Amino acid sequence: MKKLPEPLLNFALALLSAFLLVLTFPNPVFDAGLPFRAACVGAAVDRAIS
Amino acid sequence: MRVCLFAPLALAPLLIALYRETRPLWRFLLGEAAGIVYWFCVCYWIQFVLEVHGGMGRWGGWGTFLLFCVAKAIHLGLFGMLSAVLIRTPWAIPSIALLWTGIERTHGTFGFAWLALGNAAIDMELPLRIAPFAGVCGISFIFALTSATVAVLILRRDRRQLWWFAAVPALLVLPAIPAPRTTDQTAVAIQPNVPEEEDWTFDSANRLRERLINESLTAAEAGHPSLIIWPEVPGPLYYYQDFVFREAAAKLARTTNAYFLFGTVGQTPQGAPLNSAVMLRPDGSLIDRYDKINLVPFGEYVPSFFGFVNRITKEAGDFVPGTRILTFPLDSHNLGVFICYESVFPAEVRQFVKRGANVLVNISNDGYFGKSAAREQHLEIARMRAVENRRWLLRATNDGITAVIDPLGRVTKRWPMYIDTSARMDFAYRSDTTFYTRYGDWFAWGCLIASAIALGLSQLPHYSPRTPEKLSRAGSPGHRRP
Repeated sequence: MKKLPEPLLNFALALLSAFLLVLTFPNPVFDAGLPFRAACVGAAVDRAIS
Repeated sequence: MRVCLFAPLALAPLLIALYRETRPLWRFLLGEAAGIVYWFCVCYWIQFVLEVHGGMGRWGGWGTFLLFCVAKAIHLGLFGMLSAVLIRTPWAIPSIALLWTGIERTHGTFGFAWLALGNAAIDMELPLRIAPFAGVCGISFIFALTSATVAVLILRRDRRQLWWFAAVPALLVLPAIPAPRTTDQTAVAIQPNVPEEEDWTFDSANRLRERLINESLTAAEAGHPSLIIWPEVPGPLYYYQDFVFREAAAKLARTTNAYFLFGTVGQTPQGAPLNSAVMLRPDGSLIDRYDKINLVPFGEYVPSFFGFVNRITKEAGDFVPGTRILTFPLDSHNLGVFICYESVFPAEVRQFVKRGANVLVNISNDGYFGKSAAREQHLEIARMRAVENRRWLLRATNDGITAVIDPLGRVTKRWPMYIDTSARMDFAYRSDTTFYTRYGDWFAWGCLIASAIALGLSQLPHYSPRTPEKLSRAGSPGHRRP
């Protein structure tokens, strides 16, 4: 497998830290609208499959 | 989804990236990039506040929010640039933790603070033990120390450094936070669920006042509280300008024979608006008024750096900050009130307890945040203030999250969001004070100073005078001109 270029790998590591920090706290998944939107997407996928 | 256990490890990937990167500017940019992503994802609701309540429109809101993220990420950018120096030293683990804690403490000093890394520990018994001594910053230090240890392990640096990690099990030496005694007091809080987008008229304002009074009377009749609480001003309830409301408030206190605490708009002698909390005695007379000291940027005032916002919209707030910490006497006890976003400032909240508050009340109107994670985040922040100061904390909000928090930071009761309800809150007074209450952010500022010293020491080898050994090396044949 081809290795990631050094700067890109460092950038990815920095972003990984940011996302770990975000997930540590109440985050957008708590957003009251999100389950509803997720359900809408799920319903749309169901329709597309059927 | 929320995974608190990521907190002690979250900084490790960034530290590894910073070790691998050799250019100072790129180290800064790595930290800055991580900071932008963090602030964007955690405080995404600020865009809603700017768009809807700041009147800036969708794109104005996004543009200003992105600028905000870039500005707030500078802290993490600086951490990136400086910790990359420290991670190469023999004292990398403690010095990185010191640097993180010191820089994190400066968020509030430079205008806006929100979640500290240590807030993630609110449900972790062991790290929480340090909060009554060093505040939330003490927990941030422990988590940063753990991340630095993981990074040093992965980078296969000098293993002798790992001894610094012994500071974490040493937390067991700290006393466990004592369980609170049983409750013997009752307050009633009204959660009126007033929509933020309400267009107020004379009639609708009167209806709101009547509704709140009636709900308070009903709740007081059932619960016999010593205190009635209304949230941070949810509508046009002007105690000082509105004679009818002033009379109705006094009558409510007299009828229920309870102290009455409510949010209203005060005024400075010059006529500038203040976001205030007023408390009345059971006989209806005024005790005093507390004016919010730490105002919400963009919501209640516009920071000078973002002065252009005032040219875009007239809807951004023009409140002025209060200047006086005070407690309200309540029978033979004292009550400390802080308003909304002030829960983010541990150094301010502890002042209420230091001045004798036996119970804390946080009145808030989180409706401005929209239906977002900000409410849960705000509750989590407030819980830490209860632990730091070992006090019961009553949260009364307009539309959630209304809750009772015990001195261990546990939510003993919470009420559903987005409904009109009254909340019977059981609590107890406490008069003991914690080390943090007495001495404040000594640890965080000490960390900042110590990290500056560590940075200075790390640079010493570059500037040390030439030793005879170095001189002889410089004069060795390999260094001579041919």
